[in-house]
Amino acid sequence: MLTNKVFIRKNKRGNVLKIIREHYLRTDLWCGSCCCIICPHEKHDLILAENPPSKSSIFKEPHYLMVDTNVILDQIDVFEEDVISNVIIVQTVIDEVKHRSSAIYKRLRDILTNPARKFYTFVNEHHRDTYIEREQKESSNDRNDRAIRKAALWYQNHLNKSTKESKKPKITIILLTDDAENRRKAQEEDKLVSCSVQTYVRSLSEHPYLQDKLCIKEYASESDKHPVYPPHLTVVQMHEGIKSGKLYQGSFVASRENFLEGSVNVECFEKFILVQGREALNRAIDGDTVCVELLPENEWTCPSEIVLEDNENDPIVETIEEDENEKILKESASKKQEKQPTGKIVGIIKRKWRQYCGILKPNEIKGTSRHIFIPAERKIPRVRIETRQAEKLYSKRIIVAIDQWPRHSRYPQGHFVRALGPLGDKETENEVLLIEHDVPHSKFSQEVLNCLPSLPWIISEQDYKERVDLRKIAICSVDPPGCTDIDDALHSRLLPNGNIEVGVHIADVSHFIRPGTAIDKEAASRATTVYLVDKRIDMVPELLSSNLCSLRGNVERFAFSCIWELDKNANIIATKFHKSVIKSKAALTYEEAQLIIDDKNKNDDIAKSLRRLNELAKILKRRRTENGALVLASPEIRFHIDSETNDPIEVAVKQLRETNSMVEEFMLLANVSVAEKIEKEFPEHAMLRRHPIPPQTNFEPLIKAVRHQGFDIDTSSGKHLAISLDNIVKDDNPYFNTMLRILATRCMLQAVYFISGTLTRSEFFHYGLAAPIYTHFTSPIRRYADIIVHRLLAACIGADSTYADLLDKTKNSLLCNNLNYRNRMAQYAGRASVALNTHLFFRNRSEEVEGYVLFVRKNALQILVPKYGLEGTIYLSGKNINAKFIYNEENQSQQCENIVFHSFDPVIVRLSLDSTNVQHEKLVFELVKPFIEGFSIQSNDNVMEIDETPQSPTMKRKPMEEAVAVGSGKKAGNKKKKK
Amino acid sequence: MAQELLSLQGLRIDGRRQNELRQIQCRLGVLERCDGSAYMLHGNTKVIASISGPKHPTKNSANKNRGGDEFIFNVRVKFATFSKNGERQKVVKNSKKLGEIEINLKNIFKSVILVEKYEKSQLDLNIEILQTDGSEICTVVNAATLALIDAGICMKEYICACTASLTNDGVALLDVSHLEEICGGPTLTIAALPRTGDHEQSVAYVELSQKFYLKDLNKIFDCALMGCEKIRGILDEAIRSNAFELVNSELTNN
Repeated sequence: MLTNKVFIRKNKRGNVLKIIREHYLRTDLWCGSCCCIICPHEKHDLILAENPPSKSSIFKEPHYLMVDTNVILDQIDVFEEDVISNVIIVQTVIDEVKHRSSAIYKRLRDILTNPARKFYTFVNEHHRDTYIEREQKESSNDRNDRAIRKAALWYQNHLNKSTKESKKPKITIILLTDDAENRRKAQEEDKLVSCSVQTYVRSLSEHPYLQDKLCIKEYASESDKHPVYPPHLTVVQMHEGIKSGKLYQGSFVASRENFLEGSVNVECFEKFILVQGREALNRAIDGDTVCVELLPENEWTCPSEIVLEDNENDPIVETIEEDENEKILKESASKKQEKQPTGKIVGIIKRKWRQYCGILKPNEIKGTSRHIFIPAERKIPRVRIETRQAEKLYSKRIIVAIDQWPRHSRYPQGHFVRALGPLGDKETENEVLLIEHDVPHSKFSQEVLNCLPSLPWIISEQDYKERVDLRKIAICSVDPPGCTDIDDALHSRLLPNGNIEVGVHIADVSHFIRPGTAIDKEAASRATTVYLVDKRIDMVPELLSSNLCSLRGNVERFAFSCIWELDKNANIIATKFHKSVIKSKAALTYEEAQLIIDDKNKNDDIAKSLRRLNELAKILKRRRTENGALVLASPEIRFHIDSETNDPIEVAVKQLRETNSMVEEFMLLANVSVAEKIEKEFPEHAMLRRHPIPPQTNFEPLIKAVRHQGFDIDTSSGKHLAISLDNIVKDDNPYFNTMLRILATRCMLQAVYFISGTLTRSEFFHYGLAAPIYTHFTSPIRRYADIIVHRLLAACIGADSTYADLLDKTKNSLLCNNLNYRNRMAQYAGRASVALNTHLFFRNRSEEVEGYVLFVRKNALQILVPKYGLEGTIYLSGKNINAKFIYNEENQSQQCENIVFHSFDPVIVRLSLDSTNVQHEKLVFELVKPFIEGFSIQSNDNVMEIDETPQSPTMKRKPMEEAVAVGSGKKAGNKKKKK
Repeated sequence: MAQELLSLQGLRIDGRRQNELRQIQCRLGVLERCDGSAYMLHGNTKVIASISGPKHPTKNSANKNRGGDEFIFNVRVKFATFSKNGERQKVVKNSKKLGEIEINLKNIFKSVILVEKYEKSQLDLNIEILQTDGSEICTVVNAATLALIDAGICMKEYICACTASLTNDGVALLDVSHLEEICGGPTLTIAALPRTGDHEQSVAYVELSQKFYLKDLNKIFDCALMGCEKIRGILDEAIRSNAFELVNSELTNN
């Protein structure tokens, strides 16, 4: 059964190595076809249909498809469609796909493991009759192509023999390849049937829409067309350039505000390398790893600080002349003083293309199949696609994938993937923002649901024995109203020695989610529960999140308890951890808890317990602030949602009560205690959370802004910053301090999870909390990191055993990366959801509210509206703005006649929704006050009283005609005419 | 781990299934000047084992033994300079690793050789590892068994060795190649006496290369023991055909 083939490989890593590996060739690999009578198949091997119905108009006879590697890599979207079935994928292709793109490999694997799709894997590399050795002077690509042809030929002969004997209808093998040479060889040398994917898909006449999903890549040269962009360097040239220090490698970040600008983050530079202009950007798309060349120092510029959006119509003839936008950009950039390293992109090292949501741009020419797709994400350029169903798609949100970006094309070329749903529909819009933020939101698979405990769930005797019984203690939970996933509860009681026992009880999720199970893998990949305004995307199925794990009132639940003995001054005397059974006496809201604390007449266990906790929390908080913990702010709002229509009917800024802070303090304390414990027990493997100290350069905008207000801010350490923030108060502007804190928050870096063994002890520091060590322990229902921490802690106290992956530093570091990424995305998705709801809220209404200038830009003012937590832009220059603004760079101000705008100045703006652009509904910010001739709009007296708001002395009013400026929710918008 | 040890189709990197041994070839009596010898090819691991003795203890050995009457068993293991993948390596004599292997081998074989028959005599086992590709200890043990039998040393049973590993999904893999060893899974090496008369299998030597979970131990152990049984069959066949050839040649010579 075993045949042996020893083959030799040379491996270059400095020196040439001779590697000898065995390669066994087998005779027990079957063809997987139901019509075969030669192979002794097992039943589960029979995947390919006996008489596959042909859907193709060219190939009428029954056939199986075989494909080469590039077909899978380019056309995976087509192959994911159910129309295509009875396909043989050979091992050579799988190996190559795996090597080239792990994302596509994963998708291919999903297709292969789905028996309904009838995709058969033929291990040709280990089959005695189909294995071939690489010939002399043959490239490995050619060898692989030959191996695929060999396998196809074997199949054809094998099936012919089989069908001849059994007198069944003949089955043809069709080799799909886009490589003309390969096709020729298959047809001429091997007498196989072969065609390109395009030809085949076009011949599927019953499924015309499949054509839209074709990826159109031209492998041929582009010489006959006029190039718009300079060519990219080859891999070898880039490699040599980087090695010699002439070129730099980094990840490209496109500017959200200006489509002709971006920057490259290169490791060896402190600042980003700026890239400006279409040619310098040279087809890089946000996220790509690119190769940049620095321009000579006299050509360096600085960020233009203007907002530009690509509004041009797609020119039929591509031009290389500088267009208007580019001129504006050049002019605005050239005058600046502070120059920044500037470069141009000379090559792309790795594309990071994904699928993009967006809409189709209506085409003026009717009946054409070429269209322009406008992505929802502003950082992404428009994409050219071909579709025959444009009429149907105009009113829909669609997903498009980019295929390539040739030199002669202004925009990248892509293909249609699928439609999401009608525009403006809330479900669709939610779907868009989930996809755009890469949030896994499909329903839980059956495999995952099978891991759930069966109902009714009963606590067994064994469980009681293993856990500490805390059912009699007056434990209660305090959460926001409407919270169903309660993961923490608290208690406190007086000890005989006068000290206080405080317990934090966290839902014991790790009891239900066992390592290595499907539910565990799913939770690890989701990493966090995502909260949208009207929707929650759970990390674990609802049965766990809202029922079995949730520490609801008056039911027995498993908990992981952290119990301290504290003295009167909140010093920790002793700490212990154990698993327990609890029965929460009350599930309170922050408001209810506050009422109980304040109500002097209540003196039951819970009231006493809460009061004690509240007192201790105050001490803890004071101590923490003294240590330099920062109190930061972000404009957070809540929507009151209409229960019938699910539309937001009211917006309110989130309220903070004492009880919020009380719960927070004890959660922080628990997290710190657990972090210390697991780090001590597992110095190499503990999962912790750190908040890096931001570099001083991050604070520059803050320092600048404050200086113009006549204050100085000390950002040298967290403590100094906290003190500065407390001291800078303006009596005439009560919101000033909050704005400072909002700005300070933006200077911070993201807090991240990490594994203790990968960093030195000093790097564990949590800047925001001023804690030397910190982790997440208290929300295992909604965060995966907490589950890992629970497992580690359980292992520490002997309540559970470890398992291989828990103590694998590399794997856990990868896990951390995923958690960090998903957390960031969840945060963005949450914000985007708020923005979306704000838009819904402003549909058919406009309002005049007070706002503040947050930043002064060269051609715009950025305005913050505290009432709605909104940020928007008012453009100061443009086609129909008559007022002339003078930008003063020195003190960051804009002047129009005698009205001057500084950062933090209060203004009155009118908010309304501009729905002219269906894709990006925009909140329009129009200046009402101070009134500027030719710029501001008249106030509508019926909306609200505006004279009560404080005014900056520099502002004066002048009545004048109307003009418009536009802004959107969170991001800066584009110039747009309104009337 | 970059490579999957077991593909979706149930094949390992080199094309074997989960419970298949690599190719094994062996010959007895390959060297003329010693009392017994054997050559063993297991996958790409090649070993030559030779026996000299039983003989009078040399002065040196006798001194070490302090003039006692005990059976003296010396083991010497050598890796050839060209045995490993990549560049030639310097041969280190008396390294810690070699010393450990030698002591292990000594103990393994002392447990099967009928020591009482060889009092006051010395037996030298010399092992030359010509090429390595994983599971070296197994190959060495199997080759030494053959050489001992070729030399006519009395033993209780064949002693066969085999390795097993574990994939991430908890599937036991028989007979680990070098590539599979470095790909990460734990490696269990067993030397066992497959059958002694009516007695059950017994294990003479166990070595574990990494931690793994106790629940998997039985699975991996059974897998390795099954490998030992298979190897015993192969060794037995080689010995019988060798004996048959010897008898045949003797008959034709006479």
